[in-house]
Amino acid sequence: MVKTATLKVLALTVIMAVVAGCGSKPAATSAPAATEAPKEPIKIGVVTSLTGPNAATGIQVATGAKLAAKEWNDKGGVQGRKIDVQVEDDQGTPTGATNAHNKIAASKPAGVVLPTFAQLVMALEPAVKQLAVPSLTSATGVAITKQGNPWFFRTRTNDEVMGKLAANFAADELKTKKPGVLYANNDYGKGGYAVIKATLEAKSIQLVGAESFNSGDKDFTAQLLNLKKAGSDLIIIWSTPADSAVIALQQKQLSLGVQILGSPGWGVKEFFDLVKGAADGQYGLVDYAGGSSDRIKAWEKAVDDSAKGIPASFVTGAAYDGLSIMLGAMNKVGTDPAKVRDAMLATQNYDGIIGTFSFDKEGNGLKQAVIFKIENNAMKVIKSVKE
Amino acid sequence: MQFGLQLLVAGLAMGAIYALVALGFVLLVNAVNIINFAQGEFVMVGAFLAYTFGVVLHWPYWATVIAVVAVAALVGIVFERMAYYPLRGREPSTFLVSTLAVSVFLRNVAQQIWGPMPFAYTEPFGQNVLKLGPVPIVPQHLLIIAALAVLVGLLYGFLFRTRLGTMMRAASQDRVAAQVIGIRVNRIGVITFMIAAASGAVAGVLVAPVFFVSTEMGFGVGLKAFIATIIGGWGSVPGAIAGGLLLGIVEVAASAYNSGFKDLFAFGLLILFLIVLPRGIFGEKIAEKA
Repeated sequence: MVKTATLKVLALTVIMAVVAGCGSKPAATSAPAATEAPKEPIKIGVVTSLTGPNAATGIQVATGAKLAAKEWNDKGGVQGRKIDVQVEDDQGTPTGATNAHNKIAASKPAGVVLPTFAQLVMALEPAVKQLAVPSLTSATGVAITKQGNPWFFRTRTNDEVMGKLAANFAADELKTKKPGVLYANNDYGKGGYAVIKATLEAKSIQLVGAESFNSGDKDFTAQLLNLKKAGSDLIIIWSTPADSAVIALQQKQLSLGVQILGSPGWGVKEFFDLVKGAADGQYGLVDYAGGSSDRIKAWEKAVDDSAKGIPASFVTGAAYDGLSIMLGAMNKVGTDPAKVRDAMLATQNYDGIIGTFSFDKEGNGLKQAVIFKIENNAMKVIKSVKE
Repeated sequence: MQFGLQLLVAGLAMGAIYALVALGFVLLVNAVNIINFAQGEFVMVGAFLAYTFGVVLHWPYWATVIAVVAVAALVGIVFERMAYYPLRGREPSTFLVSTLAVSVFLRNVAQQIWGPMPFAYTEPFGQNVLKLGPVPIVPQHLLIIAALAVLVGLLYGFLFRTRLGTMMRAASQDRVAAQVIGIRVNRIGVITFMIAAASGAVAGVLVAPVFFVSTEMGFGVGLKAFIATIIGGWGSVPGAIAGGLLLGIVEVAASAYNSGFKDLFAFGLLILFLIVLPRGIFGEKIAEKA
């Protein structure tokens, strides 16, 4: 019995350590400055999830960034200098992100592409300030660009705008009278929920229910049924792709029969690959819904050629467009960080893959969304909306 | 009424999944007296193998299950050689670390083989739903409960009614004494890990349609199964079932009450049991492993 008890205590300790994360390492100071030869390659660092729970999404960031760099290299580089992309894995944890960023900082990058998840980007905020080079992210958490950190550049529509657009569509077009919200219990979900609630209340529409879940949960029965019981005529769901698919499948299996309006997590390839029609008839909104123009088709093919099986999504596109804008700025003004920043902030009406970028002074580049309905397991675009 | 019934069904289904995975813990506790933190990863490996055989190679369901069991048993042998055999006879903490290491290792190997994108595996029922009056029931949930009953029967019969099972339990209680009376404890270790890996992999085939197939699918369910094992009673087969079902129902009830409290209640239940009833529901009555 003694042995068994010891074993249990040890096991619990291990669980605590694993669940809580094992504490963060102090930031390493960067390596001594190398003397810069004129034709030395330009280093671009990428911090993203190559392993861990968000790897499927994270790998798209690396794919988009590498493709943008490759295209500049094929054109002869930026001011004749080659682009050298260094990708480091954040393992989906704030600690991992910090370590990955430290590694990249040590090789003196001219620009950085950050993870696409708000909780990881927020963990890197001090490091980004310290490194002081333009840093791109496609994470949509509102707080990121509210830190007064001059180095953040966001290449997607932020949650404040996206949540507003979702609530507007729900109220004005879907004519919801009794909306419910289901949101992920993290920075992303809570931020979306707050904006949706405020926007609907401004239109004198009260939520009949709000339910949350922990990312990674596999059972949403109680939440979905609670919202139905409360009489929801529409459920707005704010969730990342991995959770969205399980929710979509379960609402179908429960024969829920309530209209759903999904977050951008409901508009990506990996979502449709998993749900196989279970989300048909539901609505969603997303920054970018693929395209029919030759230019976008050619880009989608280039993504597929560069990385088999990685979808040409808005995440891939956001990293691609962002780095293209940054490298374009460097091509004009060189790699001095402050000059690159100013050149990027001056970018107006840049015609990118996922949209038209104009940066505001907080570094938000995109303020648009596409509303779609899911038919035959694919997005059917209803309309484009802007703030 | 219908609301309550649907919640109960959902809770039982999740509980049966926890219990299914918890059986692997129980087996290893009974046979080699270690906690295997990679038990959830066996589930993940099973689900990926099911995807490979069933979806990529289009094998029928029965052939897929057999192939998954066979390959998983091989994984069990490798696992035993890596994480158990070189360390046998050491402190229990050694195995916590070694199995945790293999769990990370297996996730990374799976990502190298299958990539980071999740897969759908919907065999054998597709997305069909049964209607029991007004209550929709997912047939996969019924299959999971049925499989749990069968596996429990097999495991129980094996551990307590066969010679090999008795030898396993003897080797777990006292390794040296078991060797003295002629039990080949090393061979028993290998067989145990083969069965543990195979049972975890079968759980993987069964939960794949509910969870989808991803490298991260195993860890969470492994953790919950571990809680179920403690609640139910350390090393007890009926305990694994009772603990799993109780945990599943508590989670759903907590979510229905306030969805933010789900994990709070699950871990709260664990702490409550550790304080009030540390032996668990069906725990050993005597200190046989002192």
